[in-house]
Amino acid sequence: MPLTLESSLLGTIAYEAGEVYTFADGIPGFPHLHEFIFRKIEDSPFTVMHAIQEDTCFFLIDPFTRYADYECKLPAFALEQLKIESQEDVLCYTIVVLREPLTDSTTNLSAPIVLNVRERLGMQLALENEAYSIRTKLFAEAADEKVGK
Amino acid sequence: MLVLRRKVGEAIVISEGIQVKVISVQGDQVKIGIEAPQHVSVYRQEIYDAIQEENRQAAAQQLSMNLLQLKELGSSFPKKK
Repeated sequence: MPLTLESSLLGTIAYEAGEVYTFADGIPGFPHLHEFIFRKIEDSPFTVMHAIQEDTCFFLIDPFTRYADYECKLPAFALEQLKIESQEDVLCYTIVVLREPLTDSTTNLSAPIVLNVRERLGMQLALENEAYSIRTKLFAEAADEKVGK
Repeated sequence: MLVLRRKVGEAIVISEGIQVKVISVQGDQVKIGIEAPQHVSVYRQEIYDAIQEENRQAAAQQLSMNLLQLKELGSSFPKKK
């Protein structure tokens, strides 16, 4: 029997126990949230990461489709924590912060959400890569045009 | 807060398996070595704080969004650079 949760964004969400991801430490700022489900928003580049315990969710994007040269190198402790054995088990998203105006919206490339799809484990990983900003513009081209005018 | 005085090369043990060692001191910079089990996450404080703040903003702003706005935003989303 499917389980359900109430979301102010998505309404009633039906989900199976088997699709729930466990985040052992929660994520920074939300250490109490240990269980999430993921829902792709149709006709958009966004995926929603929704907490099971409360009506809290995050917008995510796939950083690799937006930033062609993005790399998410997993250190040994992340492989261990997420029990990752094969690269095929790994999914990586980055959290989006929508801003006013929307063209100022950013995504956190320096701390991606990393998932092991086989074990259903997840974490937010702080990459030790100074090239990636915590506030990388989603609409860099639009922003550049503005600067030029 | 527990305050301990340590010399270069000396260490502190925090519970089983977590060791914090002073590697070197140069001016106002202290190099610290940390040994911890793989399941323990270690962050620089300012990086942890920054991630925490971004996450809070990310969670808060979804309250004022709806799916239609999200799809509209997505339609103007640029593809690969």
